[in-house]
Amino acid sequence: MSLLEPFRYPFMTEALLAGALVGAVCALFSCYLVLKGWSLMGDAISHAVLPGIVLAHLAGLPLALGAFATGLLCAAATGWIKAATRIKEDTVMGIVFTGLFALGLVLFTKVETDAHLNHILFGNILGIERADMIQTVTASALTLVVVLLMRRDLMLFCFDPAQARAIGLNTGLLYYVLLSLLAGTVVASLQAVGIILVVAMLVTPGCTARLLTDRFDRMLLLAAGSSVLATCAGVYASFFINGSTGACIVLAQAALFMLAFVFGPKHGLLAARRAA
Amino acid sequence: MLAPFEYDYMVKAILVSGLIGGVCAFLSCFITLKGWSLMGDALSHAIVPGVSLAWLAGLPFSAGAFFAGVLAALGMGWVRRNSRLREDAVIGVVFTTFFAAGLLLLTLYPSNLNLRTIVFGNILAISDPDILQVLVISGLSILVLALKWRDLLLYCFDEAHARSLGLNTGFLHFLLLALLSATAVAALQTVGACLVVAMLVTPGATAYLLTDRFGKMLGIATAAGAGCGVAGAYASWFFNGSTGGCIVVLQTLVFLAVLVLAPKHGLLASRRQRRLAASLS
Repeated sequence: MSLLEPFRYPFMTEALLAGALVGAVCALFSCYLVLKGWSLMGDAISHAVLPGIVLAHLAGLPLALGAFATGLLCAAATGWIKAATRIKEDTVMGIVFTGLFALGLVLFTKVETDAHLNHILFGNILGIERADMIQTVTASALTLVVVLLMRRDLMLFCFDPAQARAIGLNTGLLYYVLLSLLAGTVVASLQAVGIILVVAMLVTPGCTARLLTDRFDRMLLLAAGSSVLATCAGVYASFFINGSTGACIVLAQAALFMLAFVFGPKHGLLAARRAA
Repeated sequence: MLAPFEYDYMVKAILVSGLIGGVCAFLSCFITLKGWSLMGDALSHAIVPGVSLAWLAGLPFSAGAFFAGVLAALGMGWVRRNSRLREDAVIGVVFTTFFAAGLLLLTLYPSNLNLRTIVFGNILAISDPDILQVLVISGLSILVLALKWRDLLLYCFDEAHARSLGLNTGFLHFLLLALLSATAVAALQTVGACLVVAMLVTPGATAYLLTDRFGKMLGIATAAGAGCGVAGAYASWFFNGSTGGCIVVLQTLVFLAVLVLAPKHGLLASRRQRRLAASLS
């Protein structure tokens, strides 16, 4: 089998293009999540979309819409319960997202065959359908535009919310913008890697870039670059080894992270050893 | 109503779910105090490659899973110490890597241990050797917790204080991680990888709303966890749905009921108190 074989199939080129787009959008956003320390929030929202998907399927609505709604519901419920009780935020998040995910599973086993569930849980970028592709591209494009337009405000909000408030930014609004963006990117990347591994797309590229640079603008570029590279490499590799595409993408992301972790010019393991 | 009890596999499933629910709930009191929900979620995903490797090598799955869990925890600690990344980000990177590796192994070497088992758990089809493994894990966890619960409690509440008293906090940290991995392995069987964290968090939080004393909290949490395990497994027979999903939905409903009705820390109680305070002033 020649190395160019994958490009002869339209489904492979489509998957590579869609993967690159989703990877880039998630990576840009991951820089903010990593700064803000919201990994658990990403994990929570990505699981909480399941009941929304099932309900939207039942009602005949676009799946993305239902997913977006329950993702935000999870975040809102977490904020509300945390404000009303003395339970720690991470615990509340764990309770809310597992409750929603479990509800989704129970609903799912009642209404449908499991063929589709595997796609939602583990991604299905190679068999992506036209309608799903349009949803993915729309969600990615919207998220991308908002992130690029508000990137300075969001950065200040993630770095130092107190100062953001002091200079007159509406931090309450920014909080909800960030949450909505998170839900949007989760919806966009569901098709590529599935619910369970979305959090890797939302955390790993930002971490890789953070190890390589001290400047935020460069971090955004590096994250996007590494994520696009990893996504394409993952899709490409999965063609040859015939394994789960989502898993290959995430492992490629992890490999780039390890490279940055060991060989990073300033903050890498070897550099630190040389300096010591 | 008694139909589920006519089937051996249902009786087994109900009893084992109750046991695992109870053990996880006992540990959940420590996890909620320490704020380790993300760690619980991470370890429950990180054990998946261990399960598939153990299956390939013909070893007991819990040995592989436990090994993978501990390896992931050590990996997180190592990356955390050698980089300037936040802990939550490091946990996210490491556990998704482990889970992806497990997923890849499962798709490359299809076995009877399919994805469905990992996501849903397979308590209805649990085999006798697996039940034995669960019993051993539960027994060991309860024994360790019974012997060490005071030290662990102090460590979870106030790490600095525990260290100043001369407790070996490094050892306690590792002990808690090991217990977490072990119970995650047991819970994987009942509710599946994604919902293990519910078993490890929800009962503790429920009990925390009901009492201010840790001893009582342990009792209430264990009772709630075991009760929900038994009732959820029983209910899943009638719903004909995912057992794990039913158990966790039930736990969440119990939590929500307590959240509203708890005598001192519930929503209704705090509203009453606020109104009382307003009328007095």
